[in-house]
Amino acid sequence: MRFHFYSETSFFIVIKAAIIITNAASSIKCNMLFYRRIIDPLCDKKFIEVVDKMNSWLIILSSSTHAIKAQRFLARRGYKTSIERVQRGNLGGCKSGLRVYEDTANICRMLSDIGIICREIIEG
Amino acid sequence: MIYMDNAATTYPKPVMVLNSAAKAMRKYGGNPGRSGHKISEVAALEIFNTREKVANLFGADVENCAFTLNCTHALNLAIKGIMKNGGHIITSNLEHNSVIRPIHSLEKMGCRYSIAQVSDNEQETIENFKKLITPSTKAIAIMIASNVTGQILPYKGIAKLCKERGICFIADGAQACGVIPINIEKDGINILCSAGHKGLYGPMGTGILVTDGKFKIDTIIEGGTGSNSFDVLQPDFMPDRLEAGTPNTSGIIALGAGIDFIKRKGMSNIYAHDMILCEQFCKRISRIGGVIIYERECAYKRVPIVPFNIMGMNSADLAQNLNKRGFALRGGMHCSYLAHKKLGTSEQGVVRFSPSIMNTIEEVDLLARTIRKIVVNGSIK
Repeated sequence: MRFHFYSETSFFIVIKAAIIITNAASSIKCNMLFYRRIIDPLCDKKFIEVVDKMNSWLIILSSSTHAIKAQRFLARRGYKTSIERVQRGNLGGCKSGLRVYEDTANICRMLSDIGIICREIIEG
Repeated sequence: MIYMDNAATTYPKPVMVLNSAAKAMRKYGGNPGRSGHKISEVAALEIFNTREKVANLFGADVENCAFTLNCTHALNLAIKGIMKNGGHIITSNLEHNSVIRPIHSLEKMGCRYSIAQVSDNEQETIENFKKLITPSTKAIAIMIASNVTGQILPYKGIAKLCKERGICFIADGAQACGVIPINIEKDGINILCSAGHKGLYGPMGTGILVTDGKFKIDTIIEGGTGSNSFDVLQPDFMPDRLEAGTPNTSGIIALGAGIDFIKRKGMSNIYAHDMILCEQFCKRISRIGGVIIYERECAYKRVPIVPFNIMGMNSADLAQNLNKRGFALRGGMHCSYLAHKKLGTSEQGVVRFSPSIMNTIEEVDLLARTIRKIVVNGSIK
């Protein structure tokens, strides 16, 4: 009986340790872009969004029409973007934002050429 | 019932338009551009898709295409928006009430207007406009094609005249958009207004205002746009500037399907089909004694509209008689008393035959035979 008790306890300890190690590994993997996007699609989606936001900029545009136009224009040039609704008092109320992940100054220049003004750029 | 009143609104609508409207009602129920949730975002994207189609069709920037309730709404925004601070405006003697009434109402605000005579000769018409221009002339607002006679006005020549003088050219494209190719940049149109439910085959309750952005349009309607909410002023950027209030989402999305329909069929094919029907109709009824076809001998270019009458019969009675026999045509004044004054039909009005791609040559023959019967019977009963 005693022997059985010990083996049962060891079994649970081993399982618990395995879970902790897996979680830790998964967390490390999630921090790595390659694993996050390609190898491990099971990473927590919200976590990815948080990390993405840390490496991105939100360009404030006048309206949703401008944001969609800008998004399609940039997509044709290979830029990944997403549209967000921005509701902040210091921005003068409701606006549409375009989240970009690189090359912000160049993106604003290109948008300006097609008549879209970047009203403000917010980091992260 | 055979429907031949397509200058009022095209009917029946293409199946793809019906399906698109139904899908929009089912799937795109969020208020576009207002909220940050997916349902609102998807609706905004779908509206943008139609906006892009309108922009491509008329050679404009996508943000310079605003959606309105109808052509009258668009014309009011354009005419009153340009003339808000006074000045002089010129229009033609063929205009629909959607142009002449807003212009006349501006008189109370100190604006003046002149009416130029349209003749069969394009150069003469342009000269008539030229003579009326004064230093205070701010705009010329005319229809591209008459809703009574189908006459296409020399709008490109008038646009050129406007450009030379720095005058805003406002074009009413209700009978022309979707029927003949229009490109605001190439044609020199500063503001193009149109219904969505006529030649564009969209649903009623849709209209468009397309601008080249060279003239600032003051607002006559202000309200929520989903942008700049902390500002008591209407946004100064298009299209929000002219789009106060929740739009007709399902109507606009279905209008996009209407534009797809025109592109699929080919605008020139639709025009050719409709004109063949008009020619056939004229050929058939011109052999019937007592039938008058108006301005058929005039050499001007036209859209598929044929105004006609039976001598001694009121046009409304004739239209009613045709209605009883299964034909939907419009009699009366067509909201264009100026055009009827020019035609000399202020008393009698005219019956307007206006086919669409949905009509067939057999239907036209049947209509002509019915008109013959009415004339032979010598009674409208």
